[in-house]
Amino acid sequence: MKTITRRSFLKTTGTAAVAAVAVPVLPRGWFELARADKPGYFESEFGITDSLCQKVLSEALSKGGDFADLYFEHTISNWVILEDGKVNRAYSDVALGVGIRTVKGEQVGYGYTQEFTEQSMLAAASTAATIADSTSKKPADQFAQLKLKNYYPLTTLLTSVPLESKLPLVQSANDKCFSLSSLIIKVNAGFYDDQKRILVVTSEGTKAEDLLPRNYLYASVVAEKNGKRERAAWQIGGRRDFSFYTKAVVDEVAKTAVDQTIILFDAVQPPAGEMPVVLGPGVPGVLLHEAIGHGMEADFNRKKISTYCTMIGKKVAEPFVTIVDDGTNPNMLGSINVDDEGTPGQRTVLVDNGILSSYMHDKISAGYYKVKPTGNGRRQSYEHYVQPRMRNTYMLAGPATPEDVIKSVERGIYVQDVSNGQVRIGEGDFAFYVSQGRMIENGNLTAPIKDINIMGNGPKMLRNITMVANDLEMFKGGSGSCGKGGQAVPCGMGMPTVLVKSMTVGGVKA
Amino acid sequence: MNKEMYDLANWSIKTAKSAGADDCRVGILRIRFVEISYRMRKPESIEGASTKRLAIEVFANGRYSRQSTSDLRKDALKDFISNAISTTKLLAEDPYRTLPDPKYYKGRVDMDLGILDPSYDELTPEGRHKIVRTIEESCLSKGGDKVISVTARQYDDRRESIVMTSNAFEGYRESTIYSAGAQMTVQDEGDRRPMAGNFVVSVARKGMPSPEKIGAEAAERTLALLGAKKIKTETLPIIIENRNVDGVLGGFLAAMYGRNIQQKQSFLADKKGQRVGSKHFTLINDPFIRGGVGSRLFDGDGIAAKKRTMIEAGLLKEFYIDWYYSRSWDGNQLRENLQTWSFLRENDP
Repeated sequence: MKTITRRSFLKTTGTAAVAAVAVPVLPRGWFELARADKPGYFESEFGITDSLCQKVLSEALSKGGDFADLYFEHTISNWVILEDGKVNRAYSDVALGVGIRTVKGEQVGYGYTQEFTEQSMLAAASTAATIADSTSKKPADQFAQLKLKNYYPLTTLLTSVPLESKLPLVQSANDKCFSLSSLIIKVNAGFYDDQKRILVVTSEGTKAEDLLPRNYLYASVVAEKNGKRERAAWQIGGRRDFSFYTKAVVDEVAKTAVDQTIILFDAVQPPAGEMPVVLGPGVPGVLLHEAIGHGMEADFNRKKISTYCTMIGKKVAEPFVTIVDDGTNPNMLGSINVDDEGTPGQRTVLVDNGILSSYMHDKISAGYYKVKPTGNGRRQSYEHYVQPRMRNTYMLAGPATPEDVIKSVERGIYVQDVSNGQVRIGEGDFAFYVSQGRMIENGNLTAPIKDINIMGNGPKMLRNITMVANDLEMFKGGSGSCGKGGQAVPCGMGMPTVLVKSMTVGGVKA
Repeated sequence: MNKEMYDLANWSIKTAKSAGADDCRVGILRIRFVEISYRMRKPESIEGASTKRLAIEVFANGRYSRQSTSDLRKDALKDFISNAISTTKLLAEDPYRTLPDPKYYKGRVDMDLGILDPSYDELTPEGRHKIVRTIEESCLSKGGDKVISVTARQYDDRRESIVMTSNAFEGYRESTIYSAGAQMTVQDEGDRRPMAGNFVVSVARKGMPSPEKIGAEAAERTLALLGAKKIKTETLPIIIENRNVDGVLGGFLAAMYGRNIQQKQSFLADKKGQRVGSKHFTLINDPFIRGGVGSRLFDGDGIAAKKRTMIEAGLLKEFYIDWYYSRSWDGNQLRENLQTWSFLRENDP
């Protein structure tokens, strides 16, 4: 059943590793890729012609409305999994369908079907049309194909990569993990990939096609020492070509998973209370995404339920803080050549040297605010309508060095990895679980920490960032999904090392 | 039982067997739903669709895979099944992957679970709009001048599912579901805008509270957040409201799943028969609650469902073990006791 407006960053992790990682065998992909790169996939494979689209759009606008659009999707996903030393299970899924949307002001009518027959599509369009109640409107006579940049070029289709090439990758991840420590007692590893083809056709006379790859290799490790067990995981991926998955990637996934597990045997819980918190580079960007990014999605502001709804043009952070949401980073998880309502991928500056400069817009909110859409109109699948969503959200590097940031803290914590976050966008309050980190004592990183929560308020945290280092690091994973309104979409994130001068740490000895 | 779905499941099994599967399990799910939301006294969204998906689990040469698709064109499906079997044969052998022994299918309780609302088709489009409008009005009225935004929502669906296996299991389930509620944001001190809501779920219309009550409760819950302040960090007794049961118990239940135990990821793995909680804590797993959203007569493996006491007065009595992990964990003993153990299957929703 559909959930309603419950947001959480779903950070799933995986596994990986060893020795002789086979060089991927890529025999069949070239020819198919050449064919796929040309527009017209849905016409050649499923008979979706311009005239059919026009007929369906006419039905979607049969009771009026500002505009309508069609979102065709064909996604193939595969997942091979290793458990107990063997790659002994595989899952795959095919999603095929079209979503039809009619928009009138801020109102949306939506229908979808899994059958590409005229009858089924007209029925879905008829459902979408019910949102309007005036006279019919005619869609454009022709649909101009948008020319898009490609931020995730492929040398071969993932659907053409034979299973035989994926299996050694996963097996190697397992073997590498076990080779790194005798404390390892269980390894789960896997390789996930999906390939989504979309076609967006708008009543305003544009159409856009895209081929979005997504993949990652993961390893999840359980270690045992003196009767105590610890577990951690790591993953690497994004919108990658399969050739990305070299032995070096396998080794990095395995080593990080093992290292992060073993260190937990020495971890302590810090004392609870208000203290300075240093957010390390990379993964802690999830805090930026959750505690700040969601509040800058335009629908929450248009409805005046975000704490940022009155802050455009106002100072929200120190001048050395700049935050962007970017769909154009090569091969990043949240990159998009075009969003799911036909706006080309682009980079949006949200906080410009401390000033809140823009929200993230879809076409509805852009119409409301009378600005151009920012290419943030995204959806999980053809079964969902568009919402303003983040892409790759990150803070730009600042003037300090990471060493200076840590040295400036007499007593506090250093956060390397967070998960299981919750945020209330109306108040800005958030809580996150710190899964990896260190104590900071007298300007030095000391004991590892675990099993604590950090709590704070997004806007206040933004104001309390007093140092930003020059080491921006992007999260390299491929399995991060952001949930909002019952929809999950892949998002990327990044962060340099930053100092938040005070935050609540829930530890021990309260 | 829906004949079209039954025939498709049968055809899929035959196709898989003829393509080289030793065994297979096929599931088909069909859902028809409508969802309407209102904001500022007008529809914010109207959504509806009918969907169908097929999933097939393939057992071939001692190997296993699971595939699903929404592309149910016969030609596409034939290729899909054929590819599924080819894929399966490339995986590593796993001796624990089989369909259950059919003897465990027996003993299915014959009862009406009351999960299909016979009045479902009487709900009209205008009736749905009226419910949502009433929820919104009630919420707005109760919220008064503190209200910034209210979104009211009504969702309903009718769903059918069929599961068939090549070793003679057949299961069919037809149910309805209704969900309605509202989410409200109010103005607090400064820039604070607390948001809360109230959503209610039932398999039958008559099980739903009145729209007026749903809306009023959403407003009450939100207004209760006004003036909320952060308290000092300290150790205190906590009273947990019963509607938080999933959040509180979710993590605990995960530690009782067979996979997490077999994979050495559960702190409860060696605690069977031991005290794991307060004597006031008893946990029942009852698949036969009339009108229960999770009520069912068989589990994902096809094994006949039974009511079980999982934790009794703080003592851990049972785990949630599916057929596969009953075999791969500690084999024989568990397998012999499967009928008192099994409930959830791996990846069961």
